[in-house]
Amino acid sequence: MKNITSIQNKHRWAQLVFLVLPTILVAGFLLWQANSFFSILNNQWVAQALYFGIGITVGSLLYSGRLRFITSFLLILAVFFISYRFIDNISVGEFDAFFISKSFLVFAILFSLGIFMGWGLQRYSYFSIIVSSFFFLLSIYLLSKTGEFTMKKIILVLVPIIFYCIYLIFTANELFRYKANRSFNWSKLMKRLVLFFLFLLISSAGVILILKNEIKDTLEQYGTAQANDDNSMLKKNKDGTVQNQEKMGMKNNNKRTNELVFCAYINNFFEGSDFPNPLYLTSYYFTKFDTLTETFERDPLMPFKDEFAPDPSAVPLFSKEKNKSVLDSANSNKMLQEVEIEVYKKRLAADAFVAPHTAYEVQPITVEKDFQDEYLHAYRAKSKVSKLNSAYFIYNTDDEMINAFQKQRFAELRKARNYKNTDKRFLDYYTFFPTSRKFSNFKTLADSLGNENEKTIDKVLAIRSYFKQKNPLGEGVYSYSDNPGIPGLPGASKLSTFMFETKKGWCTYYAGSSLLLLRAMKIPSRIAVGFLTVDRSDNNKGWYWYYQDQAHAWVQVYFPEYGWLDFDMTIGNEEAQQSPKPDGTPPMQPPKAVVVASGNLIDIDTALGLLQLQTNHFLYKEKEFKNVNEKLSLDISKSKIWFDSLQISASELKPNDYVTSVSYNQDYGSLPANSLETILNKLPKPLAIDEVYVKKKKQKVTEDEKSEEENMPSGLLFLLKILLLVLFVLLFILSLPYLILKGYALRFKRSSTNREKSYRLFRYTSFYLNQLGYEQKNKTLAEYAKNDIVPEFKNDYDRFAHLHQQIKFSSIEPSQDALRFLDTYYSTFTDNIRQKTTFKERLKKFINPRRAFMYFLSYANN
Amino acid sequence: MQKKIEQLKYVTQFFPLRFNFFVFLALLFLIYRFANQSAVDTSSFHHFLILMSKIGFGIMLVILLISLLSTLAACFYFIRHREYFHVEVLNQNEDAHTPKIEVHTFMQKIFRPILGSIQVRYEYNEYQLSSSFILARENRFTFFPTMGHRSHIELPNIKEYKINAALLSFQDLFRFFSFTFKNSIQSRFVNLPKTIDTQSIIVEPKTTETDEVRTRQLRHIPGEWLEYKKYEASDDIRRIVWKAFAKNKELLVRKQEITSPYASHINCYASFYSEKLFTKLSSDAMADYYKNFIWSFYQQLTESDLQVRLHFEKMKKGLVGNDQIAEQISQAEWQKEIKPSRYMDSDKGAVLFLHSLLPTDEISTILAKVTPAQLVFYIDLRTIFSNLDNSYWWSRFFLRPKNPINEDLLSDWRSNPQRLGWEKEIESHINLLQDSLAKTEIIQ
Repeated sequence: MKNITSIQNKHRWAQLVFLVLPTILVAGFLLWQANSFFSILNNQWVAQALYFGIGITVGSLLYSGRLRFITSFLLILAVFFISYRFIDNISVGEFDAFFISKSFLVFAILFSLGIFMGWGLQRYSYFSIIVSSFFFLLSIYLLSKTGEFTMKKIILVLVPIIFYCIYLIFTANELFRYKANRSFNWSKLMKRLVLFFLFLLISSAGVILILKNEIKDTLEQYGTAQANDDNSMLKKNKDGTVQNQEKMGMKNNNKRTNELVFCAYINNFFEGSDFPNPLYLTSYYFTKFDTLTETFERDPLMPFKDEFAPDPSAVPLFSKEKNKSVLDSANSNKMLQEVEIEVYKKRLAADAFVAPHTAYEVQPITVEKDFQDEYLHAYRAKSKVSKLNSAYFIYNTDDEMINAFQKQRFAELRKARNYKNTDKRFLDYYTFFPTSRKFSNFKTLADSLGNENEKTIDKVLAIRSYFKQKNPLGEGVYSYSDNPGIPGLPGASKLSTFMFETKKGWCTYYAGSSLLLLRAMKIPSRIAVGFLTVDRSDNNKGWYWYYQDQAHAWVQVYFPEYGWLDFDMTIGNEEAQQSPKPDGTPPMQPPKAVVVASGNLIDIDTALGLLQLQTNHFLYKEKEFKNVNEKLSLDISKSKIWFDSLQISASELKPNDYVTSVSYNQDYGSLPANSLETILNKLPKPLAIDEVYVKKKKQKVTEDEKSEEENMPSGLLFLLKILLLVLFVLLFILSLPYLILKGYALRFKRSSTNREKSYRLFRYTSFYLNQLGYEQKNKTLAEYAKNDIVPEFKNDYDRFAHLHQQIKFSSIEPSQDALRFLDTYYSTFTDNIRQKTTFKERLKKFINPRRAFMYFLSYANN
Repeated sequence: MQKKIEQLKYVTQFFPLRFNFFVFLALLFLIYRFANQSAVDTSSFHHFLILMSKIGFGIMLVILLISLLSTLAACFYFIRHREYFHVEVLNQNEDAHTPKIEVHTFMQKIFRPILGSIQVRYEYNEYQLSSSFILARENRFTFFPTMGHRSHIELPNIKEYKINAALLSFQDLFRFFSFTFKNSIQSRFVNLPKTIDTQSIIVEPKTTETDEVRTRQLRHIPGEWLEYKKYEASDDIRRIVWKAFAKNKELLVRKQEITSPYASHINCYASFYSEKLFTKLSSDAMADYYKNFIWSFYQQLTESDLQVRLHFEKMKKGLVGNDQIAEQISQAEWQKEIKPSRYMDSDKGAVLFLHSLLPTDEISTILAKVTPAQLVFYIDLRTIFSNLDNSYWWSRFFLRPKNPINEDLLSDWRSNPQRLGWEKEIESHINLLQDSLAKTEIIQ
């Protein structure tokens, strides 16, 4: 009976240590996460973890006995309910009562949940699966809502939680097995757990490696990979380049640097002057708002799509990609002008595209040799720009001159019609306002701001003025901050906190809040992200330099007939507008290419410098011919050959390389550009080429496939390496006793004096015998030899033992006969044992490191 | 119905997917649904859920596969080496509340599933299963260790138990899968009735045989005084041996011819007749109680010098020794064929054991024939249920009984509609008993 009670107690302890304790830790962590999301929890996660911990411990202990669950649990719930009602009804100090009752409610729920889980884990083995799934879902839910997903977080937080979930299922089953046997053994359980963790580690390393690409992709798309270290407006790529984020969440802080991203020449000047007219550069439009995460996102399914977001790196050099539908939709508006821009990318990603709104055409161009160290890629783009979208019209500044200038725009926009004739689908989409109560205060504010004004532009200006309001001391109520902090009430809307409490933030916050206000006023609007343009150059007119801190977000408001017009609501972002960084020298614009022929290389004669090209794309001055199928002979003897940014020799060209050859020779430029045939006929053969660009055809899908192919085996290879390592270590441990034996044998053979010989041989023989299962234990050597060894092996071991002790302790020298015996005893002993035992037996006994360990342990004790 | 459930339970042992697997599947489905729902709400959560689920289930799958493959290997090894399986009965423990036998189950050599386990259950009587246990390693680390476990098989009822087979289940680490093999064994255990405290009773033996010892003709026996005794006042003067008086003036009488009362037996009659249909659990419990009672009285009676004979329906004749009687009692079962009035001999029977499951007309038929010299025991079998029910209501409300079998029994009894009409029947039984001529003992 006593035995049964002690086993039951062991079970209780094991349950507490192996199931309850880890569950409390995980729950504590999740509560900590939850506290930053649900305001009701009031940031007291330690206390809450304690409530849960006490609950689950109590539950586990209570239900390890005879207590019935349903009745006792209902009683607890009833007690909690009555207490809650009682506290709720205390009329003294309503706020206190509210606060206390709320805290009590949290306590009651967590405690009861703890009791419930304690009961389940104690009574049913399958309950661990339910608990695991619950924590699994909860942790992902909380982490996806509150924190920012990074690879580090996945490895440090989510993988351990997954470990916990799997561990719980395994350990609960293990403990129930002991329960079924009515026995308990700590050391056996520990051994099983160690083995389990070993398997867990190996398999998780393998799985993570195999899924590495997917993890990375998900993180890139939905996570916030470098959230805390970088500009929240920009996404950092693996190669160090940057581009605008494809979604915009309300981060806690923003880091800005003055690193140059790219420079651009915008061919836009005030009419009749050489005074540059800067334009904001747009990357994407965020039309969708995720209410729960407060994230603004691109919507690939957006109706009336007018976004032109090409991948310039995928367009062949000098080839043009044009979006006609965007152009047509832009053309339907008035006050348009055509603007051309040349962008020279320094750290801007090769596939990134920025241009003034509304861009419709892109053409990759080359970078002049001298500037190739600084600028990696370049393109030319064309946009239809509204005259009302000059950056001077958009800036949100206190500069009186600019403000006076902006009035022209507002006056013009007051003429705009209302939205009566606007497509309903368009209106519904661009005026979508979240129904969540979190944002109801935006609606109230919008109503109060919009009431006084009838015209759309006045409503927009009312919002702008609201942000620009001053307190009685003349300081701005709203200010710019890269670190506005997290909301005081966890779980509250960050936008709402910014708008109504902290009143400081960066462009994301201003743009986001403005969008909500505009949409609450039923004004079709969206967010544009890209770069703020500031004219700081006196010498290089039309040239603009873009630094990281110029990455920007602002709102676009739709005006019938005028199209989408930009409005910048961000307050006090002067730093970015007046970046102290001096402008560099603009890159030299390459001369206009006269002839550009692209296609696959058929043959090359390096001696003569002749190249045969299967041309599929041909450009003559401005005239472009696509889907050409002509064989051209080109003279490349004087041309420079580029592979990416490296200059290579002609011998490195291989048939089937995709080659773009450019000639700037103006002599060729006088031909009538009627048809391809006439041009080709009139051009000299071979055609002298100035530059050759070798490029692998970029095909996204195949590249992805390739990277997958590359990564998959590397993941498996890593797994294999780990497995091999484990195998090797295991093998080493198993062969350790044999190696030790061989070591003793070697030391015996190397020993010179009789005394040493005797000692080494003694160690060799005693270790050998011990490994075979004959332990000396507490017996004297003579006893051991006589009683245990000689009867078994008949190998004169007693004689050897006697001799060994004589040499060791006595001053009398052993006889010559005895010494001869000592010399031969090594081989006699070894042969004898080999005869008496089979190889299989010896192998079995030798792959037992525990016995060797015990030998050294007893040796150390003696 | 109950048998069907037992059969089903038995068959499910061989189903390779375990309950854990279905719970897991259900939760997987829930997560999937949840993920799909969340796809509408927030895109990032949805994608992370999918990703983390892939990682989580990926890891689980790898470990599960390792464990499962090794479990399958263990199965194949077992199939090829069934001869290594042994069962050793160590002892039968009857002192405990529930008698049990200690059994050492072991496999001399076994390939152990990695992180998994080997569960064993015994199948006894028909499709009944003992509680399960797990084999543990019994020797030091080798690849094919001896694994075994000393377990107790509980024999809750007083009856014969035939152990037919051991079911070995090879399970993976999460207990999602289980591969069960049947290993036939033949073993038989009889759980003997127990002696319970009974009141001491005095039973007058009924004359069952006339054993007349006639005085031998002693006239011809010379010089022997063995057959004579001195005359005493109460002796019959006709028996005075005058010849002896003539010889030595001493009054001697010839010893009387006696009809020996010691030659009688105590015949006890018991009956296992029952027309009522209770569940197996309840009827077994009632049978246990009844068997213990009969056995205890039988033992008490045998302690006196009287010769006791016990009769019930399937009792074999010519049994020697209490052990055989006890075994016979153990094997008795409720039956519907032989009515007690058919074989209970009211003339010879000194003790009649009647019980509350007997029909009223049977009892009245039997009681009509009894005489005052007979003792009739009436055992109210409801008693066992009221004995179970001796705790306070609130403790029943909050605590499970110490012995879980009791709880099952109690709920089984309470849910049985048959017990409702029974009360009245028992009342009429008692009225009949009180009106009868015989000495009656009502055990309630």
